[in-house]
Amino acid sequence: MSRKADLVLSAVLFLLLAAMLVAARPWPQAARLFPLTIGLPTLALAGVQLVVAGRSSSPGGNLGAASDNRRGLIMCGWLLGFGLAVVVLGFRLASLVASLAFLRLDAREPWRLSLAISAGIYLFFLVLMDVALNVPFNGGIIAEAAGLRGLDDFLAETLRSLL
Amino acid sequence: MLEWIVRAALAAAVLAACGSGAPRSSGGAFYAGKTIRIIVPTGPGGTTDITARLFAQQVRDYIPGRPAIVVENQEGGGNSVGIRNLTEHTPPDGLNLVSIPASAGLRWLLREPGHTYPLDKMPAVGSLPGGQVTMSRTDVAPDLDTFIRKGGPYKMGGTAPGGQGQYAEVLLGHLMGFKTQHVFGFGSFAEVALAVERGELPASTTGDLNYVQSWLSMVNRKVIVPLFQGGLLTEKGEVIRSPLVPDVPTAYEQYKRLFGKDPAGEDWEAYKVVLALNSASTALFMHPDTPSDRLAILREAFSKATADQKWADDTKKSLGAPQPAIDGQRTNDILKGALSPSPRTIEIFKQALAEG
Amino acid sequence: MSELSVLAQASVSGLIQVFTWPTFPLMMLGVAIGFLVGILPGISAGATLALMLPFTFVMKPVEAFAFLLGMLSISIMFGDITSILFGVPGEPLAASMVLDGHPMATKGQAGRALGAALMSSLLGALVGAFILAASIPIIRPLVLSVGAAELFGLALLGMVFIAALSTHNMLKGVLMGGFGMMLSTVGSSPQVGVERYTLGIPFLFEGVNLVAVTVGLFGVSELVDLYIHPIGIARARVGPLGGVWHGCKDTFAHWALALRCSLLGTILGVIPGIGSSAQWLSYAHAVQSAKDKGGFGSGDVRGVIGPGAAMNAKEGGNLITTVAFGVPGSTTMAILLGAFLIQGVAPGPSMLTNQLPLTMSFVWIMIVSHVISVGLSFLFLQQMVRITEIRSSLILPGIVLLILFGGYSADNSLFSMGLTILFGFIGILMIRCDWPRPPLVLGLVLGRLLERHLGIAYQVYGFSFALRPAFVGIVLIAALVTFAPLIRRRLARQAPEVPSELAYVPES
Repeated sequence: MSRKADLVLSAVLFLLLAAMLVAARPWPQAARLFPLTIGLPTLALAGVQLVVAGRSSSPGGNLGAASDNRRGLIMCGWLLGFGLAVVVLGFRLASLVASLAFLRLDAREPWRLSLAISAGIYLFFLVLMDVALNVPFNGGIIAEAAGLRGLDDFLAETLRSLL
Repeated sequence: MLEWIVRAALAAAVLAACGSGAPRSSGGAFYAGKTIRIIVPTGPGGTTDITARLFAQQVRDYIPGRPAIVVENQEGGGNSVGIRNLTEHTPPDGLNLVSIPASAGLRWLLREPGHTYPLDKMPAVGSLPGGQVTMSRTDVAPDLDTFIRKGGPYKMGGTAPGGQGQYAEVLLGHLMGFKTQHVFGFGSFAEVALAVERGELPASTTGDLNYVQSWLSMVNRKVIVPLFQGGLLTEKGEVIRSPLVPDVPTAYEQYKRLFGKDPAGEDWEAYKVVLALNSASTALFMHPDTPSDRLAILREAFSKATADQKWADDTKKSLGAPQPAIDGQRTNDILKGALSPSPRTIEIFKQALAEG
Repeated sequence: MSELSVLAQASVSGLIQVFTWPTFPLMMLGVAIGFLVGILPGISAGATLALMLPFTFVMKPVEAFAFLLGMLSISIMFGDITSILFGVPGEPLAASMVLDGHPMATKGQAGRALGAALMSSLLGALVGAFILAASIPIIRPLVLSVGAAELFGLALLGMVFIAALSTHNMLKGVLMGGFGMMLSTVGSSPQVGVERYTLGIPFLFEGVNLVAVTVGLFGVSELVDLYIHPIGIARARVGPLGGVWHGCKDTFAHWALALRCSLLGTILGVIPGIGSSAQWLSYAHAVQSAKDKGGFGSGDVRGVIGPGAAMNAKEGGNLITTVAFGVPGSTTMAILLGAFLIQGVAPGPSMLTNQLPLTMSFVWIMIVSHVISVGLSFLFLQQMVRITEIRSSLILPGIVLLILFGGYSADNSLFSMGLTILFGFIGILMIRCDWPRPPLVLGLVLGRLLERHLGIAYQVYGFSFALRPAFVGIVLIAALVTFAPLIRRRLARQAPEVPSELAYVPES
């Protein structure tokens, strides 16, 4: 299994490098000199690696147990979910909603603990990052469509005006 | 406790009155309890960023309502990402400004990829002009006359192609009679200064602020000599010396001295565009549809803040001379001609870029 | 002799200035802020520095720099903490700590890793400060003699270390290095401004964001591991080996390595742009100089000591070029230059002559702030170790958000956050299939430098740049470094089979 993954990775790398080299052809000399100088030998090495991966019989890596892989994929899913929440709800609010969702749905932690942790995380981003350090958080797709700077913007503004 | 509740309620009321994002006229207390955002389309550090931060600190007291002012870095796309964030992703509510460096103006003129914001329709709150100084190593040419006589081609350094230094060098080279070749890839103009000091480059051009900070010591040690400065444009279209470098003659003065007449021709017309952009550099712009009364409040605050003696004293401490400022309407006036040049001028720029 | 006495006089004057009011409290305030910046990933030292700049307007020069430098040097020292505890790099400079520091935490030795990191940071800072002071008489002629050709050569030398970072699978290592360099070409080409591989996305015009890539590449795989092991970060209970004090003793035991890496870090810090690779190069050196390499990647304390020393020593190096020439070697230095501007102090020769006491105060600020921080941190480090004993599910949301925040705040864009996620997945795949990650990052960092300096060297000197004596010397060193370990191995006739980068320890 890990041999197959290794082979796929090697093939993808080879194809990607080849594509980069082809894309560089129409550029002026000064712009393509470096990519070609580095890219051609790298492509050659990628070719060698592809052959080695195809021939190799040893696993050469540790892909782990199937159950671990499944859990790994689930975590990747959560990561994407958090990212999606950030895009849609804006970073601050997403931190609250997504944390709560994770703690309740996946970790099955009790309500009070989940709320406490989620609220703590939310306050961290709201108070410390946004109000105190002025990190420019995105508002999220929904807020932008409504012409707001963020769904919870009123909270942030209120806090800022108090300081 | 009571005070907190009252203030929170007041703030909420103000926000509720103005919060939906649809621009609406309101009185002078509009900015009370609000936050003004200045977007800087470069990373932290660097002239544009620092000037914006210093300005943010100074101007707060001159805006009725004393709003909070925050500076946000939004770099990317050769300055275009931050600028477009303002024009495309923020409501025209009078709470957002963007600081645009002169080089972005040039990229906009040439329609470089990403620079699709409506610069010619964006009202300016004010600008903090900065000129440019061109200098040469004394062992290459101790003065401009020798510099021209030898003719070059002179290798001159820069960080990336398409900056106003490159255009100034090429165009003035055509006018005065010297050839230039450009070496790009330096991390900063301080690195260019290092290369000039090492003798790897014979000459270069840099902004007057950077000149004062990184190059003046070389002038004092007679390693380099300033040949001319670009200068700043007045509202009448005259070229004056930048107060930061009062001892260096302008290119205009030098040309008159050398050739006995005013500079003219398409290279000079193109150069005047560069000059205009420099004269309105580090300008603070707003969304084209900003309500006019809010724009007026900010413009007045800018004028008052920069006319104050405190501004002159503070900037003099840092820069050696008070930082000049141009108010919003004048900025737009200076830029009007520059931002709609003739197609021939655009051609000249493209040729200058291609000359290397 | 009189030069030495001038230096001595300025040192004393500088030291006294640091301990006056309000300089000292301002420095401590900076230290406190630096501590927060360091332990909270996503808050970059650069952005915080920029935020603090306007406040320094009303301060005198010494006060301003005590405040800013205090913050800057301490943020680096504590930036290792998230790398070690969570496996998420707090600053891109701290990514190498993840390789061995985090596995130590998973083995229940978090305290030891933290102690080693802190102690080696202190040593590095002291060495860096000392070299800053000692080099003052010679630094200008020295840096002036290093031109574009030599800079290119040095970047080339750095690339050679890529091979050292993957001693047991050179093919994959060098391949990743090459790929990293190809990735570094994304964006505008330095000499002609042509957009390369940007696919029309403006966020790629300035290249692939290094912070986003590093946080993703190293942070996400640790996240997945944490999810798979619900017991908590530490999968074994803390034993007598776990203590912070033990880590400090480790640093003293490997003092030669720490010293060498400090020197390496300082020298690299002097060269603009190359500083961020200091941690990788010193990690590579730690691996290369070790007789028993098997433990690296799964919790070898030397993998913590080396980068720890280099990262902090690098600051001293950075300061040297910033102060002596006004050339910023990194973003934080560029912002610090803003402080110079605000104070009306010009970096350059005057900093080494009539402003010498101010320069010496920088040295003392670095030393004093580090010593005080290390002392104070012992009070609460042991408590921080407790975090590794909390069950995973409670800290996972926080870590996910810290990773996303780290990517987002790299340049305040959702695109960089997406890049972090993408490289996170790539990182997971790389570990599973045994492809080493450090060469990729090193290639990304050095690729840009290589191209810029090669371009400048060629345009200034033509092909004859390759004949310059310093360049030739550097190439010879590079050849020596590449082939020496191979020759050594041939002579020793041993080649233990160890995976090229083992940051995932299977539970079986």
